[in-house]
Parts: sequence; structure tokens; C-alpha cells
Amino acid sequence: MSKPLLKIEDLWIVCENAPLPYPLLKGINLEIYSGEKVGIVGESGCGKTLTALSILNILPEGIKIEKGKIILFHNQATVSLHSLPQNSPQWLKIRGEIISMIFQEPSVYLNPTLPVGFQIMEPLIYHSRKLTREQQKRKAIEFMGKVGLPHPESLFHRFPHELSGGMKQRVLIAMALILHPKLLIADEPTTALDVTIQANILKLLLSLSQELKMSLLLITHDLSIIAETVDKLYVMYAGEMVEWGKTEDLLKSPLHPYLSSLINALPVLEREKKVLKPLPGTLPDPREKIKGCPFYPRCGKKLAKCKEIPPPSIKIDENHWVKCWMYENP
Amino acid sequence: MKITGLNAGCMKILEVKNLKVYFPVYGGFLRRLKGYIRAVDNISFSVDEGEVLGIVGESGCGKSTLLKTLALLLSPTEGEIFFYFEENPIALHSLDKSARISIRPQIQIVFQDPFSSLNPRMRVWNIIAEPLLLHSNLPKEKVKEKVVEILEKVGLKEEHLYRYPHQFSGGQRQRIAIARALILHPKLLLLDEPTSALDVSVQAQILNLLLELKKSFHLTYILVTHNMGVVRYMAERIIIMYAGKCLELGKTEDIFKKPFHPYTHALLHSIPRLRKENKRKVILLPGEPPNPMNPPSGCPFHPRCPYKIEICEKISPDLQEIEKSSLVACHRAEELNLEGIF
Repeated sequence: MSKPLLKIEDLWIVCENAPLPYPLLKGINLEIYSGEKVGIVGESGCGKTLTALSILNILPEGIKIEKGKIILFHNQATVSLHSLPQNSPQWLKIRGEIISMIFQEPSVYLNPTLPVGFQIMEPLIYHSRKLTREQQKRKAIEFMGKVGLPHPESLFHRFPHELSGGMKQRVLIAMALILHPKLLIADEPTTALDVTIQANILKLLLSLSQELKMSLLLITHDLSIIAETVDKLYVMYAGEMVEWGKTEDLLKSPLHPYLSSLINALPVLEREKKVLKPLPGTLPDPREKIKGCPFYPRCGKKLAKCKEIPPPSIKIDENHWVKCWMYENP
Repeated sequence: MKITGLNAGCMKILEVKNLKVYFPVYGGFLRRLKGYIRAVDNISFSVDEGEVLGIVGESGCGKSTLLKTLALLLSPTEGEIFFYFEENPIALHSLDKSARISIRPQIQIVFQDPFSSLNPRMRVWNIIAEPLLLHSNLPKEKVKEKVVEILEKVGLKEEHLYRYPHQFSGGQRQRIAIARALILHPKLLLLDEPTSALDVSVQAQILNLLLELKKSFHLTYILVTHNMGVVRYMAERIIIMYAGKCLELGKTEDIFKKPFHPYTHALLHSIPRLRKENKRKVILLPGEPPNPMNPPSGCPFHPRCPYKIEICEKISPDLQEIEKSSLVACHRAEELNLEGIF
């Protein structure tokens, strides 16, 4: 089997900013192959964004990788991202050129004092010094057209406040893609946008990832946008991956009680109008020590041993894994 | 007369006639009046007692402004709002201050973001009791009794009474906001995106709670949302708003089965679907919603509409009845024959 583009192995992240350090990610595994579209889904506070930040080594202060591996395979070379020091010059090549990221709230990530065209051009200024300014500008304008911004020439000199939310997200996408990265991490790219705009942005991300032969890691809390976008899905709960596999299998026959109750709690259009079955309770506090399965208190199908022993990863088939005692082979 | 259950009422509780809410915009060196933002532009509808009316639209279309006007937090520029209280119409658009205060207990509002709608320096007890202390002169023990009662109704416990908002999760805070709105036993509850700041699993809890409370308090809801799944689950009728105007009004099931307006059509077909086999052709609208300062001539939707004809650019269509209890504002509504998603 070919090597994945990015591999995360047993990654633990702890918060050290507390009297008692506590884990935020508890041994997660993730594989992204080149050209693959992967999704991470989970409630807010379950560690989705932290996973993304740890890949780029831009974790907030006080939060550190305790153990585990993040490995990037690129051009026949293997780079261990988890042990690369923060000031290593290699990061400059990796961030932007190989891995790029877009964020949830586009207006927060754009500099309000610089024209958007310049901000799109900026990665080229640092990464492709061989190009002249004129060439850089032309490339930025080309990319603005590619992401569907109208009248790129005149928009080049506009400021972020003159643009709508959807347009700002397009600017951010252009900025992230201008160096042709191999992997784009999209952290809730459409949460701040309207439904009609959301459909446009998702379509754009899909067509661009095809065109540029790029892998996509889509992080979201919205199960329904996952179904139409990604091939492989990871379901996260309280800092752990609880179920992963092919998106279609997962949504059609969810195994983990968390995923199935999440689907039941969704007011989707598929279901006949009947009472939603909400998930009782909330996500556990990461500061609490959990002995067994983290989903135990909210689970409707709990077994006796769930409280005491954390479930292992159980293989259902080649493309479907779940962490739940119910599927243990007797 | 108390009406229980769904669809039982046909008595009007609220009537809105040609409502306009404009905000003046000043600009330039002398702060001259440059124009108006037409947040709500000529909207008429009525709400029956006991129903849930959904208002759907993209951000900036004026749905929150409309709701705030109905909650007496903004005053209308033009138009009339009648609230039927004990079968007497009360003209909300022309109330003086004391009358406004006396009608407020009947119309309450729950805001979108429970992280900013609760005062972080007040305890839950003060937050929920405040409306009661302002609008009634009950003795203190009675107030406490009522607060605890409502707290239990929304799924919280007496032990939460003396905590601060920051000690609660998003869903619990929204429960507190709902308790505060219900303590005066209003007739009409306005919900401004009550679940959009919450997680999916908590969203279902709050939606079910709202449906339960509606039955036990005999409430009428006006629900503003941009989530089509939520509106289908909750509402009996829907208003589709765009650029301050009402484009379509009809029964929820009718609108999902057979939309008449091209915008509704596109809106329905851009909802992401959970199962791939249900996927239909997504209709992508070009462009963005219009600038409310400078709306397009004619129909506000024509710059993005795939079906526009010449007349659309010139004349703004009126809201007309096309079928029984379905209203639409489109010149070509009858000939288009658009497809729903069921």
C-alpha cells in the first residue's frame, strides 16, 4: 500500500497551563492520502481544531504535544513534524507550500489595513522570490478569478471591510492555495456563511482540490455538509477518535452510539417530521479524569465494563473502525 | 379561551400590515442624510394563536430587525402592527411609553447568542426574577417559588439558582434565557435563531424543550432561523425573506414540496443532504444578496435569478395568492413550475 501524505500516530496533547496538567487529545490516529478528502466531525470542544493546529505546530501557548507522531511524507522524504523545532527553517517551506489552512471566521483572519489583493500575493512574496512583483500580482489576480471573485483587477485594491462574508472566505481560500499546497486544512470554512453561499464555497473547495490535486482535511460540526464532501470520516468525541471509515458506511450504518445519536439529533430533511431524539447531557470536562469510555454517561447502550475499561479500537472491516465495547468479538 | 394542541387555533394573535423599518444613513463631511437602509420593506402577515411561524432568510435580509420591531425594541418607520390581547386589538406601532411597558409581559424574546444575552454579573436568580420584580409586586417568597417552578420547567434545578452564567454550558444558558422570557407567561414568544450558537446534540434538546413548553404554556412562536432543517421541524408556516421583502409565504410542507419563488427553490436545493442518494442537483446562485442601502430596481432577487425576464428589472412584484394559503412575489410564479425536495 502506498504511503499516506500525512500520518498522525497516537497523538497526545496536554494543557500545561493548569495546576494539574490535563490531556486534550488522547491518542488520536489519522491518515490522509494524497488527493483524499477527509473529514473530522464532533461537537465544539472535542479537539477538532487542536488536531489541525498540532499538524502545523501552531498550538496556543501552554498546550503541548506530549507524545505521538505526526509524519509528513513528501517527495520521497519523511519529515517528523512533531519533533521539528518551532524555529526550524523547514517550517517555512511546510506551512503554505505543503500544508495550508483556512479558518472559520474569515473576517478575523484578514488584515483590515491591507488591500485583499496584496494579502493574496503575500505568500508569493515570501515563498517565490524569483517572480517579479508584476508576475506575483498577475498570479494573485489569476487565483482571484479561480476562486470566483468577480472583477479581480478592481477587487485587488479593495479592503476586507468592503467585501461580504462569502467573498472574504474566497479571498482566504485564494491566499491558502496560491502556493499549490499538497494539503488544505479547512477548519469550519462555512460556519459563518449562509446556506446558499455555503453551497458555493463547498463546491469551490471540491473543484479546486480536484484541479490542484490536493488533499483536503475538512473540520466541521455539521454532519450534513460532510456527506457531500469527504471520502473518509473521523468522528471525534472528548479528545478521542471514536469511529472512522468511509463516509457512506458511517452515515448509513453508524456503529458507535455517539454517532448514531448525533444523526438522530439532527433535524435533517430526510426524516419524516417526528420528535428529534436529543443526546442527553453535555461533553465531559477535559479536566475530569475518565476511567472508562468517555461517552459512558450519555450512552444509551452502555455495558457494565464501559465504566471501568476504555474500549479499544475494533476493526469492523478494512475501512471501518470503532471504539466501543459493543462490537468486541466474543 | 385557551387553545391547546397544534393547528387548533384560527384566532389571530398578531397582524402586521405594510411594515417598514428604515435606518437613516448619514455620511460625508456634514453628516448629511445619504439614504436609508431598508431593513424591512413593506411586509404584511398575520400569526394565529398557537402556531409556529418560521421566518427564513440569509443574514442581512432583515429578519432580526423584523423580530426586534415586533418585540417593541425598535419602532417602525411606517405600517401597522396589531396585537390581539383578550380579543382587543392593540396597536403596537403607536403605543406610548407606559402602554408599551404594560404590554411587554405579553411579548417576550429569546436572543441568538446566550453568551452575550445574559448579564455575566447577575446570578441566575436575579436574571430570571428581574422581569417579575419589574412587572408585578409579588412578595419575595412567591417570586422565588415562581422562579424555581420555571427553572424546573426548562430543565434546570433549584441548586442552579445562585450560580453565574459563566458556570453554565451554552445549552443551559439558552435554557436560562428561555426561563427569563417565560416567567411572565407571555402569549407570544419571539425566537431569534435560538439554536444557531449551539451544538447539534444540544440543539435538539432545546428544540424539543421549546415544543414542550409551547404546549404547556399555550404559546405562539415566531421563529427566525436560517436553518431549513430547524424550520421544517418547528414551524407550521414559513415566510421567506430576502432583502427586506417577503418573497414567499406558505405552509411548511407546501413550500418544501412545491416552492413557487426561484429563491426559495435555490434555498431548498442548497441544503446539504445527509445521504448521498438523496442528493439532487445543487442550484448555485451567482453573486451575493443586494446591498440594503442600494437595492436593485424591480424585484430584489432579479440580479441572481436564473429565470428573470425584462419586467423583473423594472417592476417589483407584489405578494399574491397563488394557491390556497400560499403567497408569492414573483412575476413568473405560475409558469415556472419549480420542483420541491420531497
